[in-house]
Amino acid sequence: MSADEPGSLPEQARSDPWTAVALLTIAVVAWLSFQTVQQIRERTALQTVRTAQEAAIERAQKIRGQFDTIAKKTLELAQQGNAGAARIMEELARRGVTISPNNPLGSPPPAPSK
Amino acid sequence: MEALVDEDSASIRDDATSGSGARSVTSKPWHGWVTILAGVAIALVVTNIVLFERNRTLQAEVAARTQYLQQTAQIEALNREMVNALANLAVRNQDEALKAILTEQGININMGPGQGAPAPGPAPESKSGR
Repeated sequence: MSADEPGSLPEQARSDPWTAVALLTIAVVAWLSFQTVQQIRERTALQTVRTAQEAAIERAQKIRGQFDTIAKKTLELAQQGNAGAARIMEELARRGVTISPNNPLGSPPPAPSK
Repeated sequence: MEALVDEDSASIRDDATSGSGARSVTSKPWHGWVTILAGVAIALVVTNIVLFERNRTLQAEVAARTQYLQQTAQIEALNREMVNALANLAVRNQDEALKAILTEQGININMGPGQGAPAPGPAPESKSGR
C-alpha cells in the first residue's frame, strides 16, 4: 500500500503515538528513578541522624530521670516541713517549674518507627 | 458518486482488516520494551509512594527527638542548679535529708575545712562532689 492510497494515512497515524508513548515513558521512568534515588538518599540521611541521636537520647533520659527523682524527693521533704527543700521548691515554682508526683519528666522519647 | 462511495467503503474495509491483521501495532519488537518500561514506571511510582511515607514518618520521629533533646538541655541546666542549691543548703544547714537525696543519685558531698559546697558536673550520675 503506497502513501498515496487512502488506507496508508490511518496506519501512519497509529504508529506515531507509539513513538510519543515511548518517549513519554522513558521520560517518566527517568524522572521516577531520580525521585527514587533522592528518596533513598533522604532516608539514609535521616537514619544516620536518628542513629546519631541514640547516645544523646540515652543521656537525656538519665538526666530527666535524675531530675525527676531529685525534684520529687525534694517536694516530699518540703511537704514534711524541711525548710531548705521548701526554699528550693519555691525557687522552682518562681521559675515556672511545677513538680507533680504523677507526671514524670523522665518520660521516654518518641518511639522509633518501624 | 457511487464509484467514490464504493472506493471509500473499500478503504474502510481495508483499514479494518489491517487493524486486526498482521499489521498490528504491537508486533514491533520495541513496543514490548515500551510496555515493560511502563511497568517499571508503575513499580517506581509505588516505590516512591512507600518511600515518601516512610521518610515522612522518620522525619517526624527525628524532629520529635530533636525537640526532646532541646527540652532536656533546659532541664539539664535546671537540674545542675537544683543539685548545686541542694548541696549548698545541705552543707550550710548540715541537713542530712538533703544530702541523702544527692547521695542516692551518686552525688557525694565531701566537705573539707573551709570549703564551699561542691558543684556537681553536667553528667550527674557519673560525677561526684569534690
